Amino acid sequence: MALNDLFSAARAASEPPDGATERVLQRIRDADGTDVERLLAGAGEPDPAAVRRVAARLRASRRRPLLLGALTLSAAAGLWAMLATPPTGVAPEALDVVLDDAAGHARTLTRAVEVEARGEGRVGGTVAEPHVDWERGELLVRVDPEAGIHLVVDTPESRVTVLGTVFSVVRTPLGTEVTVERGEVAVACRDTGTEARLGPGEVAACRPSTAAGLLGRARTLEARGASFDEVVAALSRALELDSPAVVRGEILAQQIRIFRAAGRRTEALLAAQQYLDEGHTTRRKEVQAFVESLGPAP
Amino acid sequence: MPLPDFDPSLVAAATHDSGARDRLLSAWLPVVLGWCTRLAGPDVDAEDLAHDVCLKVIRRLGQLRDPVAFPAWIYRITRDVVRKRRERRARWFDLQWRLPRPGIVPPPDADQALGRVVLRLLQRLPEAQREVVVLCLVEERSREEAAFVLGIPVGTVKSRLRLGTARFRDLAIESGLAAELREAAGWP
Repeated sequence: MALNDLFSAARAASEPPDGATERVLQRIRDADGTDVERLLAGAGEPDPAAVRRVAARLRASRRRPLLLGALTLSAAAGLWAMLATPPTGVAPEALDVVLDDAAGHARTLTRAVEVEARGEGRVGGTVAEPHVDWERGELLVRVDPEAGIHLVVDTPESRVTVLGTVFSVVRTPLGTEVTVERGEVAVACRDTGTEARLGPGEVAACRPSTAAGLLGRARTLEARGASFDEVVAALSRALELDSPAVVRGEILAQQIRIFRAAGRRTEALLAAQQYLDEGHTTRRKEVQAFVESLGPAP
Repeated sequence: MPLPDFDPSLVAAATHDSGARDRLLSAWLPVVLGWCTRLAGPDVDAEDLAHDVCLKVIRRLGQLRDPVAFPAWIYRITRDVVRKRRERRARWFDLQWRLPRPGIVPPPDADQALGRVVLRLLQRLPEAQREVVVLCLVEERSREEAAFVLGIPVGTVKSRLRLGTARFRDLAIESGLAAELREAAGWP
């Protein structure tokens, strides 16, 4: 096979699939007005009355060249102040944005906060103190360090508090993982109650803090080929937590299955006895059949 | 795929007219999508990357002084988006956490599989060589067109292409992809 054949194969394998162009265009058209339209519209205009007042003072002054420069700077500063700070007496602008995109797209939440969301969550709070409840998937957040923004991202496993940085939060059945690109964030894990400060390039992972979440973590670990010890650790931790009976029964059933598959018959039997003693019913027949298959105790 | 014919006045109109913007992006998205896959590898979500490219194009179109330079300009944006995504992926300590996007199905046939292997091998080339190999050999553009898109002299394209092709040949042989190449290259 010649090199040209290899490159031809690569070309064919990388042609855009049908409909790709239209899908991307549709995402752009569907983008929130805060995203595309604001970009096209540009920044607002300075207050004309303020500019006239400054201009009048300039005309009265002999030091015109220097003060013309000052006027420019003042107008620019006034514009910046107007855009960055709400007028006295007016409540900070509230945020209420739903992030719900399986594919994800970049979006500007405020002038100082950008997100790239690939999952589900909701943004509340205010422009100066945004608060994100992140449910599922990957969220990348960029915060302007000069803007004095206090941002919080909550997941069921963690609270991430940040002041001017770039970081990402990924929530999957395995838990929440936070990675910092720039700046510093504080991550508090709900399952352990510990808090860590992360710098650039650092990662923290918080496990699920509920029994059902840990059951999901165990299933996902197993599906991804994780070690026996990791899967069992997740199930064991899940059993230490309070949970509805149906969840607890399912955790025990998974323990029985995992131990059986690993040839750990004694542990499987103990888990099966616990399942039956606790009165779970969903898989009672299977569990009883398993216990009976082991025969009478020696 | 040839570069789209485009009217520089369309580029200028796209800065303030959403209809012109749509037409411009419609013409260039197939090329951008191809660049995203070929430069970043077959395992990325090219539509995601292309969407990021489009948003940057929309944001910065007003800064483009010479509309005739649009092809090179949009290529640079694509390359930057791809580069940032590669850097971000490299920082994840466990790539298994990146769940596949629903709807992406692995290719069923052998040719597609071979193509994906080749695209992955291309990721092992240095960026400068990968770009010219993608443009000149995968996309079969002329050296002059590649030089225009990349914004470098034709001579530089040729020298990077020579190095990139030699390196790719070695990678293909090492990976067992092409026994004939081994023989032709004089490998034992």
